[in-house]
Amino acid sequence: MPSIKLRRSVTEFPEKNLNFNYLSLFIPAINGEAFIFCNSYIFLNPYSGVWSTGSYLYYKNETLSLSGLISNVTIEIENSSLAKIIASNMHDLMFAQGYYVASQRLFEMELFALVSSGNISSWIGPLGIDSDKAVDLIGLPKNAMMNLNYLKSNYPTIYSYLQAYSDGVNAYINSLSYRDLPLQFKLINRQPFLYSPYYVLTFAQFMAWSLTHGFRDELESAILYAKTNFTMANLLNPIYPYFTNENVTVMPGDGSIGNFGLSSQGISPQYLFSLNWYSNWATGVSDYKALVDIMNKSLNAISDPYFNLIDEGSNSWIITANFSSTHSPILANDPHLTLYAPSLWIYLQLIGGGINVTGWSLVGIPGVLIGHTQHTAWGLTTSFGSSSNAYVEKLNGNYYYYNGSWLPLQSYNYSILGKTYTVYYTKHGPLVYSNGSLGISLYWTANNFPMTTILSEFYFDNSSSFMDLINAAKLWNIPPQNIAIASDKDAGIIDAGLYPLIEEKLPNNKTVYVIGSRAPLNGSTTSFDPVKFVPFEYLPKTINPKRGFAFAPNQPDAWINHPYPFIGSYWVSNGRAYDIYLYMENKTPVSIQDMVKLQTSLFDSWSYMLMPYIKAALNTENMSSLEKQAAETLFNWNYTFSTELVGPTIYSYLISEMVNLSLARVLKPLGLESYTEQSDSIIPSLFLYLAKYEPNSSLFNGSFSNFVKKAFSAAVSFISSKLGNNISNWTWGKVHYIEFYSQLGIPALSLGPYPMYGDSYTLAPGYIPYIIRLPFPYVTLGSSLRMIADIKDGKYYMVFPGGSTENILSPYFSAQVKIWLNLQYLNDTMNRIIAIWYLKP
Amino acid sequence: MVFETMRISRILAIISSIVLTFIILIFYPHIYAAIIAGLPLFRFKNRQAMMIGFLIGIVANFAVLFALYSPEVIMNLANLLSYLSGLPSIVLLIFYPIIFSIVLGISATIFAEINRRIKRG
Repeated sequence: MPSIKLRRSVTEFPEKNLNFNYLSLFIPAINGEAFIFCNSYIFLNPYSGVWSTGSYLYYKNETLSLSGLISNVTIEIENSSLAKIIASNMHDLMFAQGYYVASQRLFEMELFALVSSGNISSWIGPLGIDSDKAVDLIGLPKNAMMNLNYLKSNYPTIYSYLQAYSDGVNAYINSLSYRDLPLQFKLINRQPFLYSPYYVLTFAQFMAWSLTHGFRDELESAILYAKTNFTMANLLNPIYPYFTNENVTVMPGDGSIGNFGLSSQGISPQYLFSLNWYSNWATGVSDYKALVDIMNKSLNAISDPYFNLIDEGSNSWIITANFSSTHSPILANDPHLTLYAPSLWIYLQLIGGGINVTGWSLVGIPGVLIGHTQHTAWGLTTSFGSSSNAYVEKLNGNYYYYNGSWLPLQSYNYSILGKTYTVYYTKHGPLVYSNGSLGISLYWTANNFPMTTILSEFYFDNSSSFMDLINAAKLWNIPPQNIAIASDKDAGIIDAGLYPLIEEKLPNNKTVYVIGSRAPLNGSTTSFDPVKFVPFEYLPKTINPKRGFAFAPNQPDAWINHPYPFIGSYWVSNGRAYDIYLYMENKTPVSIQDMVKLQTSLFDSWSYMLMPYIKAALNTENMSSLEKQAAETLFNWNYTFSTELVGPTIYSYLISEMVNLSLARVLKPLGLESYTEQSDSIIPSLFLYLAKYEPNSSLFNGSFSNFVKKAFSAAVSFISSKLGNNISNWTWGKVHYIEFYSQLGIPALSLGPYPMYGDSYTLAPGYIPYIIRLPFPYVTLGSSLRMIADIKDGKYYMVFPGGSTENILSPYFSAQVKIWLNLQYLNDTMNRIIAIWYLKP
Repeated sequence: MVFETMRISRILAIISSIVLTFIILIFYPHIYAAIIAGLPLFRFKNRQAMMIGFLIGIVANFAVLFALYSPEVIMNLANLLSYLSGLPSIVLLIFYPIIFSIVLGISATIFAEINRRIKRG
């Protein structure tokens, strides 16, 4: 039986990369095609071969004639890697953005486009088939086509922007000779293909799927339940993470909106959240044990896109004008994504056609996704509530059972490398896996409704008031995101997006609409179908909160009295939420420097809360001298994860040993060991909870104190066996590294490894799982950008771990990486124009 | 006088071959095109044609490479390719020039041999 992956494990990505046989990508190009037959060694030619990469290291002034432009466009490129694109109309602005982005990241954008459209095998052959199958199974290309037609018919102006962007990309592609091709094209012996709005939308779909929760979580949760029991499943995977309360939710308060809440519907929140939501009454499924195999296989069927855009977490917060030292709102955002080299983002200022927006654009998608105008700013973090669901389908040949009838499965054909494959659809969505009479289908909002998120992005880019921001948020439908918004007067966070609601009849016969599920739902009846969505006015939100601040680092959106309970919610632990809350609760007024300090904070609140229990458990009397030294270092540690400190090393290996002696011991025999390999897991908070309320838990073999002593001894022994007995050598920077991977999975095209600060619970994160390995698995995801905006004063602190170009030899490939690694931001001395491009029609 | 004419024609042949080599390297980088650059060397004896062709190939290749790109960039790329292919970077660096030069040299030898046979009647 294949082992499952509970949530996304940080080890998933690097292992995937390391296992990826990059030679098998390159060697066919050498041995098979390029080397012998097709290109006659052309890629090693001294003029136009790979060496020509050295010709494009620096920017120079250029004047270019581009057919397709209406008027002149200027692009000012700064050494900070910001490109300021100035046009006189939106068409030219989008065209020039497409041209510029292609000139910097052509390979990356085409790779994204092919992976997202389920066609990467056309570049890399059979290696890409599983990825293409997964993408088609989820439905991304089909959805993108639906979106394309929708935009064409209903929003022709927006569609024209996508077309102009694509035309700009193609103008660049058409200008290329073999010599000009980015290195990566030469390595895999492929030519660029012409871009189109379809690819913009497929990549948007890919991103949306990467940030969507529900389907996978419900399957993983059900497997955990099936292999253990309700008590264990609830302990390891509670609906609300430990130590959630009304102070740390995105929307402060008990969860009610206006006077509307669960209690106003006559339902006790305590009662509702004490129920077993895996039960037959809640899901219509009575035996999940029998479904473990197909649930595992369903997860595997969709888990193999060529690369992942893991969203382990993100941070955002807002300070209201009353609590800001500048008397103007402050907004901070740093979305955590897989950190690639080059970055997913490109840093731009777009001026023209009535907009003036600065920020980060996703490579391959026009506009600016996260950034600011002169009057507004906005940022994104992912809400981990369910917007997709898994359904158990009853099958008979090409029919599925639904609402008392056998209905024919709908089919959708696609081809990969000349071979035709079929995806079957039930009413709920694509049948991800089937085995005889049972199958699992995927209900995802994007399979049923056009994504209007791209419209929302243009509304944000064009915003000049707080109302504009709210109107933009109303258009954001897939995937749900916590959108932090601020104007020069107001600030807030809205959990925007489509949350499907299921009508549940509780054991006390009351009915309630809930979001998502703890496990796959019965698909053969209408009882568990989504019936409507959470109306915009009842989405969790907070505007100008009275306490002066709000934050959204992937913790629960609302507390238990929200009118639509998040049953299918798979929030991360409240670690980063507490980091912010503990810092902010007594702080007023707040300056922008405070925000810089907070966004780059290396303080881990779980370690701060857990350490007193560990300290109480460790008696230094019977320890060896090395253990005594280690214990003293740990006790004197200030709970920050700086690279030069020893405390984080001892603490992290202690927790790893605690995991090994407790959770791994129980879960490994069940094939669930990957639960312990998550990065932002609830593990430290679970230990804290048990240490506080159940110190005699069987997980601790009856004694927390003895358990900690044993783990501590093992941790010290492990570290000393690897780093020696000189404790001053045990610094965090020696066991904790970051690597920025190439999307091709080729280490030689990657950046790093570099010693890395932070852990999974610090605001400047350095995600790692608690695995006893030295060094820890390399950090591969983190703050993909950092932004702090003080709109009224026009002060913006920005940085991202990347640069403008994908040319690995260029200094602009990683222009901001060192600044980012040093927890600094761009400053004025960096902003110097190094080249100007004049684009003429 | 005959000797002088012969010398000039040989110099012209070498110059033609060099010019053709550069044109091929820049405009038609397929390695088999080196055959064309060997054509002007038909006036030389077989062994001379081979050596001159080979030398022109090597020198022209490295002249293009090092005139256009810094040694640091070249070595970085060679190391990268080495990492990818498992071949030593120096092999990757000289591979194209060597093969190109061998093709050029053999081509020159063949044309020289053809010329010799035509002359012999």
